[in-house]
Amino acid sequence: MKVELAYDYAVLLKPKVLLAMLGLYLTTFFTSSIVSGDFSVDYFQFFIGFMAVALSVSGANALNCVYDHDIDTLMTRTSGRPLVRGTISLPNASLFSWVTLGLSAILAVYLGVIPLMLLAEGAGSYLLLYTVIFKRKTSVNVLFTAPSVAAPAWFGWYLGGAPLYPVGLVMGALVAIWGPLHLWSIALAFTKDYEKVGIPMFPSMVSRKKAISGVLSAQMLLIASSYSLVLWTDSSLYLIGVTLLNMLMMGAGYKLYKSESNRDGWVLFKLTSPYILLVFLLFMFSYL
Amino acid sequence: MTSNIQENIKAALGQFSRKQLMELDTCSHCALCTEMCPAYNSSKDSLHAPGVRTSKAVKLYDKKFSLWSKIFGEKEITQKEMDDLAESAYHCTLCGRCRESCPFGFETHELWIRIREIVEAMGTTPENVARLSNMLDENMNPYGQDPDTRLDWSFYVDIDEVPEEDEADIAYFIGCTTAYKGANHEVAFSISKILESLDVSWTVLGEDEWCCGAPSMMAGKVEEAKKYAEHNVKMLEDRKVKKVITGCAGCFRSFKFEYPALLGRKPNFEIQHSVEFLRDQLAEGKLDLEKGDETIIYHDPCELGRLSGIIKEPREALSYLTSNQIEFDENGIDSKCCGGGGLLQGVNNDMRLDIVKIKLEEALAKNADILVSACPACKLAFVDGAREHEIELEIRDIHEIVAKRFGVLEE
Repeated sequence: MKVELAYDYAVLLKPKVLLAMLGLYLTTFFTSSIVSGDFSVDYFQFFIGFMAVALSVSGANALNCVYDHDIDTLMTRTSGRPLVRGTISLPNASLFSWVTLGLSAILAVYLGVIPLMLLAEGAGSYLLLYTVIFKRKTSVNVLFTAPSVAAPAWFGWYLGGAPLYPVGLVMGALVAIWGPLHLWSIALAFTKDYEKVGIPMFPSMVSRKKAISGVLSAQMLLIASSYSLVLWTDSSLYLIGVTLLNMLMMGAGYKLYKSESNRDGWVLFKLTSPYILLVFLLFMFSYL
Repeated sequence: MTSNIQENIKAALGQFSRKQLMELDTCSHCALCTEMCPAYNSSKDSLHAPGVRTSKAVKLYDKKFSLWSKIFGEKEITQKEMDDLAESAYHCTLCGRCRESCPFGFETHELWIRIREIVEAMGTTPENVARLSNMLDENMNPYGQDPDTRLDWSFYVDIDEVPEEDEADIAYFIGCTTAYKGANHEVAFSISKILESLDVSWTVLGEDEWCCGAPSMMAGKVEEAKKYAEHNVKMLEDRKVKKVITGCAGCFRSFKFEYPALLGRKPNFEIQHSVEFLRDQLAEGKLDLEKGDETIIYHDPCELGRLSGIIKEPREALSYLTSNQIEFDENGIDSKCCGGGGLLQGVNNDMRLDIVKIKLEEALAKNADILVSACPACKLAFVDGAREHEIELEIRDIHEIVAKRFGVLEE
């Protein structure tokens, strides 16, 4: 019973999103450490930062589940979530979310004002801008997740030791561009589920052709933007690696354009999942 | 539990392709097909939902192959986990509705077969299914009947002789459920009568006909299915047949889609479901039949319609047989399953009869005179269901309607 409850709480945190955000923190932290010069890592600070990101993202995700439980109940895809099944009560989930967010704030205070502001920006924009204000109102709602997904990258960059370099901002901006592509490519498959609850997710608001055009436009923007990091590295590893990755992405995009099938939408989604981390890893290794 | 079993399970889990693993992972986080699943709708038991099945399989895979297991050691798969996966795997009619409603277009049918292979490796295949496999081994049919009684159906119907030739242009592959199940003897008779009425050279295989292998595939014994594929194809190619027709949707799908994969080549003959053949003969005017006026409702067998794409042919054939053809609300590729597939009968016959009741009641509500299908397993499910639920409705295979028009089958 205790194990099952722990599992339900783990599900409440949206573990895949959490892992992705921690991945962004890790890659940007170590890239920043390398760029800043001697790769001297303060592992205690790294650990506190890691926990702060983990708690902040977890708390924001759990609170998102609390706020959205009404639509989660109606959407088939989310009908198995613990709040919908009633295995965790709404008050308990709320309390858990606020405690988690509070703990992350305490850790961030320890790290300094800027880390605290970055975490507040990440969790705050996700909850206020996206969840409360725009998610149910506009078909471009996912664009408002951009500041929140960029936050862990900026946070990692700052803690890594190279706070004022513009490359750190660019890395965060790349994540912000990646977010909508990733979310729209999965939303292509779930249009009916979103329609059912009236969430105006872009792919469910326009014709399939337009939805795919939107996804592919976001993809082209991301691909073009990925080359901006070339400005900050002399190694050809990044250029070659990112070009190969982009070719793979363009191949998947072309297949989706031709077939318009859900299956090819899924393939693109699967490719976009590790894309941003692979880009950051390539960039990091290009400095070694 | 012996480490040997754990090793067998690990070997079976290791057979998942990278693509299938990604599909399983995605599937386990989605649930859009749940409401379409006939097994889940019947029981409302989450264990029978497709997404729960995949999540159980993913969990087992992770116990043996995840990064965590590589670092901290593999975990033992418990008896309960094995029993749960087996129950989930076999509470499925393999109807393919989940495939049609999958937002990602996954080949769920292949996933379910692969999961049944794992269940087989675990040794938790349901008793009745295991028994069926034994009967197949001994008698080359899943009903445990003596192979030399395969043509005995002809004794019970009005047919002089069924040709067993050394060579012929067309071979009629009868199929076990037609040959051995009394409710379907008239289907074999009707198809034979159609062939008899045409100026064609045709034959049956008699004792040389073995099960098509579909039950082995469905029981997760893919290698065994290959044995049946090899035998049947050899027997048919030895007779130099140009075309094989079968009235069984399961046999048809095996020949058309599974055999090329199992054998690594296409057989040297064309395969047609007998309803395609019938449509062609009717369209070419080779069968001159009087059109009736009964209200006929057609049920798309899952293996023929959704899984093989034969949807318009039976309707075109019926248009020559009646002027009053009606449809189920969900038909064609969206047709609801009758419950007769996936070996469900051997695992949970009550569920099968529960599933078929829905279609029988809809046919009644639409005032159909005859419920027609083109698959002996579907007909059997309808006949059993009508008996169980005391529903008065004429149930026929489409070929029997032709035999009725010939005047050789009782009204």
